[in-house]
Amino acid sequence: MQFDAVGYQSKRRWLSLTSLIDIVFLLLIFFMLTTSFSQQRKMSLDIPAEKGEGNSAWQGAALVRVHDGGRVDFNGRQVDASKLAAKANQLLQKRPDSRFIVRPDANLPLQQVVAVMDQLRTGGATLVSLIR
Amino acid sequence: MQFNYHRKKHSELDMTPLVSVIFLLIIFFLVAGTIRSPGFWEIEHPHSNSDARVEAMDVSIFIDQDGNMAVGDREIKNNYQLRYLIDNAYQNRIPPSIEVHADSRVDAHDVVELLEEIRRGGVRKVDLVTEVNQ
Repeated sequence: MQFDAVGYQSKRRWLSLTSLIDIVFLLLIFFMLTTSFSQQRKMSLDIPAEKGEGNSAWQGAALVRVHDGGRVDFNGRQVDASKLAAKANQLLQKRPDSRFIVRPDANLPLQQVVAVMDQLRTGGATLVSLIR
Repeated sequence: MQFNYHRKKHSELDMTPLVSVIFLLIIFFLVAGTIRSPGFWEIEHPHSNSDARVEAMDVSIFIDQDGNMAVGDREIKNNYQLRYLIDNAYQNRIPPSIEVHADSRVDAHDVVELLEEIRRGGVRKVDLVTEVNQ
């Protein structure tokens, strides 16, 4: 009988995996190109209104100046960068809603400023602004 | 011939282990990585100890180490374009959430200038994207 053609059946015993592999390779290439392993985090920045606009954001705020060469002034006094977190914490214990205004010198790379903001956050600061 | 017959039987390579390995690789990339749309430029984010995770935001602003800016996939030449794009991103008068991808080597004053422009557009809070300290 024609349907009992055993030879035909055994010939087609294996499923052809070629098309599956094509698609799977495409998927693999897609994921390899679009996946990033960098661990990104965020840092919230508060943008206060400008000085002339008459608001209370600037009153009682701590001014942190970042100078070239890594020097940092906290409210006009030079402090060691490693003690910045403790200073911020001290101030926050007196006034818990203190705002910290970071003012970098011109031509300072952002990384240096982020490091200072990092220190302030370690001390518990939540309202950190950046001005020039 | 007997030898010839033997070769013909094994002429197709067995693909099953290959497929298994590739599936494992796909699962690895799916689980271990996060899919991100490529930014306008290659940006080296500043490092920080922050542990707040990045969420999906309405507007992504990129600023490279020379101070060139782009919003999403569009390069912007002046502040008017920036303001226009921010105004467009408003939905029902709710300010858009904005993330700033700034290069760690860019002049901090360029970033401040960008923040001031965002503030003039009515947004009071932005997220600066950083990378975990290794």
